[in-house]
This record gives sequence, C-alpha cells and structure tokens, in this order.
Amino acid sequence: MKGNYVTIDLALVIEKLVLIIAVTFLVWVAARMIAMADRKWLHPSPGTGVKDISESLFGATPRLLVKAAAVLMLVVSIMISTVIPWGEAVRIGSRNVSLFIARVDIGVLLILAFLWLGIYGGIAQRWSYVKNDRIGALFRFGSLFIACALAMGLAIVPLLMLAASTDLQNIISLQKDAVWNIFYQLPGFLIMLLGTAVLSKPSFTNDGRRIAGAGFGSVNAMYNLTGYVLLFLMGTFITALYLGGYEIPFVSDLALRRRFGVNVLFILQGISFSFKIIMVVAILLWTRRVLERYDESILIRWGWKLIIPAALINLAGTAVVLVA
Amino acid sequence: MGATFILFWILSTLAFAAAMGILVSKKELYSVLSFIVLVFAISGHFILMNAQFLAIVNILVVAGALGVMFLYGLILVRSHRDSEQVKILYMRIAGVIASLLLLIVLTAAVSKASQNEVVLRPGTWIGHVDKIGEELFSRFFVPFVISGLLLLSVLVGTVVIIINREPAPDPKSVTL
Repeated sequence: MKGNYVTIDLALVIEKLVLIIAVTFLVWVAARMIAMADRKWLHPSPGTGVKDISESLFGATPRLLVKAAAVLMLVVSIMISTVIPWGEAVRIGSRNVSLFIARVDIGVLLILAFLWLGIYGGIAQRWSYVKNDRIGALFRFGSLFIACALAMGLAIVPLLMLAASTDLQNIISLQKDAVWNIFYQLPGFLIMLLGTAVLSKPSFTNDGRRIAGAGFGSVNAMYNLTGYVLLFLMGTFITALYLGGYEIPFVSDLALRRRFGVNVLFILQGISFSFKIIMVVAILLWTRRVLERYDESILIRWGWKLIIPAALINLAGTAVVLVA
Repeated sequence: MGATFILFWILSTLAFAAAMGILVSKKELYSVLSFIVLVFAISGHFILMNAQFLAIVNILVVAGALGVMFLYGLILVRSHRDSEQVKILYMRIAGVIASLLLLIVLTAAVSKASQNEVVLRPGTWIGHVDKIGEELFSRFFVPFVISGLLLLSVLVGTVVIIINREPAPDPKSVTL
C-alpha cells in the first residue's frame, strides 16, 4: 500500500465517474421514455416470444438479471468512449485541455475487452426471452458472437503491427498528414465494419422471428439503445483506427495549427471527425439492416468459414510484407 | 494517497464479496457472474499497481473467454442431468483436502514473497505493453512458445476427440 501504488488524483476519478454515470443515466431515461410511449400509444403485438421465465439456472426471478445485463451492456458500451481521443487539444484560458477521458497505452485492447463483455448481456437476454429451443439459441448466439469478436480482434492485429502501438492517440497521430490506414488495411476495415454491424444488433433473428429488442418495455428499449450506442462508438473507433480520426484530409494540420491557433483547429477537426463518423455510421446502419435479412446460421457459416480465414490471411500477409 | 487508498478498500471489499458470492450462491449461474465481478475487482487492483496490460488481458481472457466457457459448460451439464444437487461424501472430503493444500501453498508463497517495494513514479513503464512485449520475446521466449504449443495441442486434441462422435442429441429434445 505504500510505495508501489500509483497515486491517482481523486478529483480526476470523480470527474470521470460523474461523466460516465451521467451519460448512462441519460440513456436510461431515454429507455424509460420509450417504454412509456410504448405503453401509451402502442399495443404489444402477440408472438414476440417474451415473458418466459426459466427456473433452471437463474432461479425464480431472472427479470432482475435481465435488467442487470441490460445495464451492464450499456455501461460497458459507454466505457468505450473513455479511451477514444475526440480531438487534439482545446485552449481554455492559459492551459491546454486534452480531449480524451483517459489516455491509456492499451486503448485498443480495452475497447476489444469491453466489446467482448457484451456476450454476457446477450446470453442473459436470450436466456430469458427465447421460448423454445433455448440451448440452440444460446449456442448459435455464442458461435456468432465469438466468430465476430475473434475476426475483429484478428483484423486489428495487423494495424497494431503497422502502428507499433496500442495507443489510439499514437495511431491517429501516425496517420496525421500521411496515408490513412485504410489504404494499407482495407480487408481489416471491412471486417471491422461487418463485425460491428452484427455485434451491435441487439436482436438476432431466431426461427424467423425477432426475439428480444422487438418487445416492449424499458429493458427492450435499453437493449436497442445500447445497440445504437455501440454502433456509434464503434464507428468512432473504426474512424480513429482506419480513417485518421480527427485528422483533416488534404491539408496539413500542423500548418493550420500554426496559422490559426489551437481552438480554431479544434473546431475544424471536430467538423472533420463528425463528418467521417457520420459516414461510417451510415454505412454501419445500412450493413446492419441488410444483415438482418439473413438467417443466423448463414451468418455463422460466413463468420467461421469466410471472415476469420480472411482475417488470418490478412494478418499473415501483413506480417510477411512488414518483415520482407 | 487518498484516492488510491479509497479505491484499494472498495476493490478489496468488492473482491471479497464476489468471492463469497461464488461459494454461497445456490445457482451456478450466479456463481459464474460473481466470478466475473471478482475478475473485475482484481483487474482494478492491477490498474492500481500500474499493470494496465495485465488488467485488460485479465478482463479479456478470464472474464471474457473463460467465463463464457464456464457458462456454456454449465448450460450443457445442466441440460443433461436433473436439477437436483449431487452430493457425494468422498467428493466433499476430496474438496476439503484440495482446498487445504491450496491454502498451504498460497500461505507459503505469500510468506516467502520478497518485501522489496517497487517505487512507481509517473513515467515509469513497468507493466506497460511495450515492456511486457520485450520481455516476452526476449527473456521468456521459450516458455511463451511452449505455452502456445500446449494450447495448440489442446485444440487439435479436442477436434480429434469430437470429430468421430455420433451426432449430439437434437437440442430441441433437451428440456431445461
């Protein structure tokens, strides 16, 4: 307890916690409002397959667990935002304020870990909402999730080899006024898009019928909103990895900074970053909508037989090119 | 020291509560969830000790992959036997003996641990990803490769075992 711990500023910790709790609370409020609107203006349709309570593993009341899983998924998704750098710096008064919540040298791994934890939310969700063939649904979900998460992990590794860093700030600054990573790593970019589109979808199809996320109530709304939070934040992550993050294309950021100062550059970078994120999120939404049409088993087959080998070949090829 | 001290006690309490939860809870699933909370608390301790890489790998591998494996194992085991608890006397005795042995080993390890304090200042890179990568690929290269080969052989063995089995019973016929 004495010398071998890093001292952490208490104010800093509290600030981060307040920020995360505030955002989580806002999404929760939105979920409640959606649920209220559902109750007021919509009638629950039959055949959504909800309200089946299993007493085998969860005990008598899995409702609490489902809610806990929804909150867990939401918090974990929002935690992704803590390591994404949103801009270079902004000058307030006489000091430069950096625009990320936590700069950790393992930002990429952190995001992957948080993404991976979403599997528990999915398991709890399927366990409580799927009525027949529950084991099949659980295993299909697990298979699909692992295929996507594994492919995404394998797709990021060549990028980390190129950047020689797992710090997102470093990866962005390497692309600054240089060639974006997408031109080196197009297969990785596509795999990330596909994986995010599948993972951020709160409801996979099951027996030709939507399961959770299609019903009503605040938990379902929360699952849907979590899907959108994840979609947006992963879109930001992909932008930072492959599209240069907040870097402004075609002009030199350094020259702009010298000419106009930090704050003007911050605004310009914000516009650039927002534009890129909107583009990526639009592509993601479109991909997600298209993938919804396919059966889960087809997606699993593609994931294991096509995407993961492609990611492996990409990894091996990049390694050979880097060494040779 | 203030924030670190408070965080240390919060994390320790959480870890202890989660460890008790693993033992106490009647349903296996809640045990698995307590296990995940425990892993998170330990990762928090790692972060306090500036071992960020270890913390994240702990979450990614133990909470992510291992916890999911436990969960699916439980689901499969549960679907093949009745929900009543199996309590065999000699298994309990074996469990007690094994736990006592583990306790002895852990106590010996902790009491033999060196009391040297590693002072960490801002700017030191102990426990960071670059440093660990260097160590893994220089000093600990052979153990690293051997453990990789071990995992590969486990994978191949699993495939060999399951590849010539008769097809599993139809999941639809299994009732929970």
